Amino acid sequence: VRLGRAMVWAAALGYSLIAATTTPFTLPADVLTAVAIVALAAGVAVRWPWRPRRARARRESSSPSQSVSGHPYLPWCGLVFLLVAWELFNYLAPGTRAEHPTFSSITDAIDRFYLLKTLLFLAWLYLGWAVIASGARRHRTKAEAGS
Amino acid sequence: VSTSTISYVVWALLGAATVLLWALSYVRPGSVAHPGAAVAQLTTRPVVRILFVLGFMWLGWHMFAR
Repeated sequence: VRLGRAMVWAAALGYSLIAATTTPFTLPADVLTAVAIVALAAGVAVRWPWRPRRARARRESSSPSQSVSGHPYLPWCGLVFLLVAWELFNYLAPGTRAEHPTFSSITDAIDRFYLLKTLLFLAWLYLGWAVIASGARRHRTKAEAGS
Repeated sequence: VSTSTISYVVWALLGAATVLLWALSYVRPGSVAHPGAAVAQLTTRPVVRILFVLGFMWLGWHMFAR
């Protein structure tokens, strides 16, 4: 399992190293990004259940050993709200992009450095894998896993 | 202090808040949900999970291909 995981990481790193050499608005950039997007779509189609059930997810996400107080998702909702609000404010604010940098302009600055762009691409691949894994987790219930 | 500096400081604070929440999700899982659990909960709604994945795809396209 460890060898397999290491090979996946190595492949993802190699792919990111190649993808980071491309320039936006060119065919290689389009193709390499599109391949990763298609892989994500395929992963979602194959590993996610067709009929997700809220009740099952709720039951599985709350472990009996941990006491849940209040709304554990509320801090994330608040953070996402602030991020979106700040992005929109910067996007719509009058002035130059240097005065009001958006998420895109920050990533553009990062993309100018090969190593940082490689890490950003690798992080995007990893998050894609994490998204697939999060959706697929409830595919098998504990009873199914035990049988 | 320039407008640009304020903008970058706010972005940095939002980034720090993200890391802080991530860390808190391990230390106090009852108060802050783990990002994976939050995504799992989000993706239980059929329409939301499709929008979420499409948004994630768009993010990659926007950052690297455009």
